[in-house]
Amino acid sequence: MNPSDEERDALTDEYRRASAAEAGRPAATVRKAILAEAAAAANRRTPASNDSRYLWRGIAGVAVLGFAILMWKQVDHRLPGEASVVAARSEAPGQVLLETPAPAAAAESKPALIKEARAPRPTPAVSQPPAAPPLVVADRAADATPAGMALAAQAESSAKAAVSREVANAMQGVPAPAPAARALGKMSAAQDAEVDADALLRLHFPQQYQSSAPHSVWLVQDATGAVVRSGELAAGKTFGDIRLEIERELGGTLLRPWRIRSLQNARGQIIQIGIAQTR
Amino acid sequence: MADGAWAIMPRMSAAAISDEALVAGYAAGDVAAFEQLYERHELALWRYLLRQCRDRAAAEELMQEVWFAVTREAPRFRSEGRFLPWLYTIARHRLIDRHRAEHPTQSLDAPIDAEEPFGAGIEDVHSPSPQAASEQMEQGKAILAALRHLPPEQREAFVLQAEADLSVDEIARITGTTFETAKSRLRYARDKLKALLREHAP
Repeated sequence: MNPSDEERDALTDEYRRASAAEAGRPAATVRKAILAEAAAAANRRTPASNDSRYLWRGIAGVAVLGFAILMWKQVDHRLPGEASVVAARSEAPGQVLLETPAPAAAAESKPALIKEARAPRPTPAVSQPPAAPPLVVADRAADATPAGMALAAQAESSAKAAVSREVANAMQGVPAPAPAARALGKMSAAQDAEVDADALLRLHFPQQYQSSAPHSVWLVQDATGAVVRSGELAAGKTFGDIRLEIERELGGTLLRPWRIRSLQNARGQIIQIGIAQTR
Repeated sequence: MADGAWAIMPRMSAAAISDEALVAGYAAGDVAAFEQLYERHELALWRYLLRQCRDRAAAEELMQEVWFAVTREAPRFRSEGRFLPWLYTIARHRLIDRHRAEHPTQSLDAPIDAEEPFGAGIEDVHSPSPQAASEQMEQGKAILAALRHLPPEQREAFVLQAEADLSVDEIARITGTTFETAKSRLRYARDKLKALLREHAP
């Protein structure tokens, strides 16, 4: 220790002695208040803040909740009337074309579809049903003997079953895959589509998303996913009408089939959203 | 601070428990750890606040504010840091807040009472007593009076070192300056104190 250090220590010691004598202590009430606050603050703090057990419990809780949400989303909660219908429009004439049936038009659409499906098809539809006796066989058989009539009835029954399968396949919008693969594919695609549709609804139709009334809206995306047209479906108009208008507006550019989803908005109202892409 | 470190504390002597471990203990809910921490640093912090604001009532308010802040912030105290610089940083911020509230237009660097004649405060602190006025006491009073005539930043550096026993590096961090600046302030403070004491030596 050099003389300067000794001097410094002497000065510091002298200061400390004088300071301690002069300053005394803070009032007893101050001390009491501080210690009381310390106890209260310790009580206020949740025991979870520093206990790793609670941390792990919290993490586990969040994981379980996330898993439950995931499982819930895997299940198709749509009512039959709200079922999204993917239109399967083919370039070939006479192919089954399904627009989302408006509530009033839904009843009419089924016979029309069956009728259309019965029509001769130069090219196969999106999904080709298994070979079934053509309806002409049944018609011809109906003019024949009772045995022939039985044969005709059987043939017609087979034909109707084939049409039903075709309609069901067309409703799916894809050729019928193997059952297991179809189940997996449908769940994943449906989930993605729901997320897409919900995000698009929130982004492009904020007013309808907050509305306390049901709405039908539509939007058209280009190949990059950018929204090029959007609007609300006016009363009395169908998505088919909108398709024609848009295709005219876009100078003959054709739209892919509408993907129509029924979603719930922020107020629990059903919002029907049709999404189409330009080809 | 790991919980395990706090768990072995009861077996250790009170002196061996670090401030940082006590903060961790308090953050974990042990109020006794806080009381121990308070006992350790109550007087040094009190004197620092008193030297800086020179008003007992204000210093008592600040004392509460600082320790209340410790109770709130203890769970966020990082164990790799030292407790004392953290405590004095809180105290300094509270002092600055109060100073700004009371003197909104005055620079923080301005001396609080530069015009006060040397030794003016001595009689305010202790009534002169012909019998008890030993040389040592006079010397102590003179130091405190001289301290008041230091520029605030030098006084602060000196008090932080003398009261809290902080290193130059810690003083630099608390006061937001460089190591060299803090070191210079300490040197100037001591030189001026010695000069003032020499000038007014009996």
